[in-house]
Amino acid sequence: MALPNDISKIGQIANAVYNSVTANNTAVTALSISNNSVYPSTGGFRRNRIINGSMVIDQRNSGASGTTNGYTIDRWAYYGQQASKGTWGQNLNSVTTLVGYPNYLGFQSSSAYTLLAGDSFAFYQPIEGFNFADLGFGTASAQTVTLSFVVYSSLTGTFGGTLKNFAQTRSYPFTYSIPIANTWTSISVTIPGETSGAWGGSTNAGAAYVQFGLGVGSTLSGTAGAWASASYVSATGAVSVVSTNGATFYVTGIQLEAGSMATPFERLPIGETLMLCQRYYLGYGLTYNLSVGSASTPFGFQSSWLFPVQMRSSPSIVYKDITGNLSCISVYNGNTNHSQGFSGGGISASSQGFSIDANWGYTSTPYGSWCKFLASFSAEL
Amino acid sequence: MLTYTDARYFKFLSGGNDVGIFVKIHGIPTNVPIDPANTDYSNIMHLVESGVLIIKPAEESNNQ
Repeated sequence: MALPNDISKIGQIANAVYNSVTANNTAVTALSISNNSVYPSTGGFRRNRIINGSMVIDQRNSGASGTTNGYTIDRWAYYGQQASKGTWGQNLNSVTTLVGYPNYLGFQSSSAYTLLAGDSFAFYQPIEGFNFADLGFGTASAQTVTLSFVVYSSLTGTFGGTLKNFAQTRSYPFTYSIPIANTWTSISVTIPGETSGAWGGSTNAGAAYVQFGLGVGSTLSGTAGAWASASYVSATGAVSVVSTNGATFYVTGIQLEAGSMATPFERLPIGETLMLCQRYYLGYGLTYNLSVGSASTPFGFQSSWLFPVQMRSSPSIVYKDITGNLSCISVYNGNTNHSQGFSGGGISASSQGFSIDANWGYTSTPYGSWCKFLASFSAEL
Repeated sequence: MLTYTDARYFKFLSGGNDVGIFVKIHGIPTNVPIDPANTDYSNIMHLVESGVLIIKPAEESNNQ
């Protein structure tokens, strides 16, 4: 029996099979599926090229808000050309969420800022080449993709964003409409595959950005609905959230997939989403313990740890002692904590783990017997 | 754009080649690996090539 390329008929077919089996009391011996796919052209599983599109993982801030440029919740970064024009955060302002989407990424403007031509304020996610190359961008076989999400704003009108290559030489501005303020609205944007430009290939390098404009000046805004040889951040004429004091913008359920049809948001167990995020960032979730490696000064440390997943690249490391002193570890003798830096050597990492090979400068007696520190690791694009 | 200051190579205590760069990123002390795929390393090398940043050689002690 062949199945059609129409998901709405799957239920009818299942009923027909069930009725046939129960009526004839016979087993189904052969069942072929014509497209090998529940969702035509997408393969059915692992459709979403966006990581943490449900905004559930927030290793850096644990739900706390921020105002600075850089990564907000996992995999989602904020950029503001001008400082202190708004606040971002997971579930910012605790608005009533849409059923099925308990988390969102929020932004609230802190002034009525008048945009300069070269300004841009945006949320964005860079996508790794390994997760994008099969779409064939930069070749004649480039596939159409569809970006879908759920959005909520205190403002109404036409908002904008872009799909852009990581090299920032090709970009596709898009628009979407929020007709009713303070109401969750589902959006779907279909984008033709781009046959030009460099898109990173099947590597761990950056391939593309998905960007949501929060206020973008004319220089960085382009005509919606067309690929351009420019590094646009949004579409011309889009609503500027940063230009209204107190205006809000919330987004969740972001999915970028092959094909011209938005399929239901791909929900993953939280453990899987966390591991996908940890390929790029591993937070201060663990206190690492060390034993002193030598009995006399200078004390030596040599130890190695594996990451829970292989990271995208060798990560940058920030470490601190248990009281928060950066570039220090906590060394104990008795019940006393000594915050110490290294007197030689250091901490280094590969994509699979990290090692310490160092001395610590504490030389007073009684000597420490064990040590603790925390560390974060970033292999972000 | 991230700011990178006070860059210096460091080695493991047991010797060998430089294993990373100790640098302040927005004032936060950070160990950056020598890996062209690492975004910070790539940014640092662009700053070095443009003459904006100098990486000091590793010291025999007090590496970090």
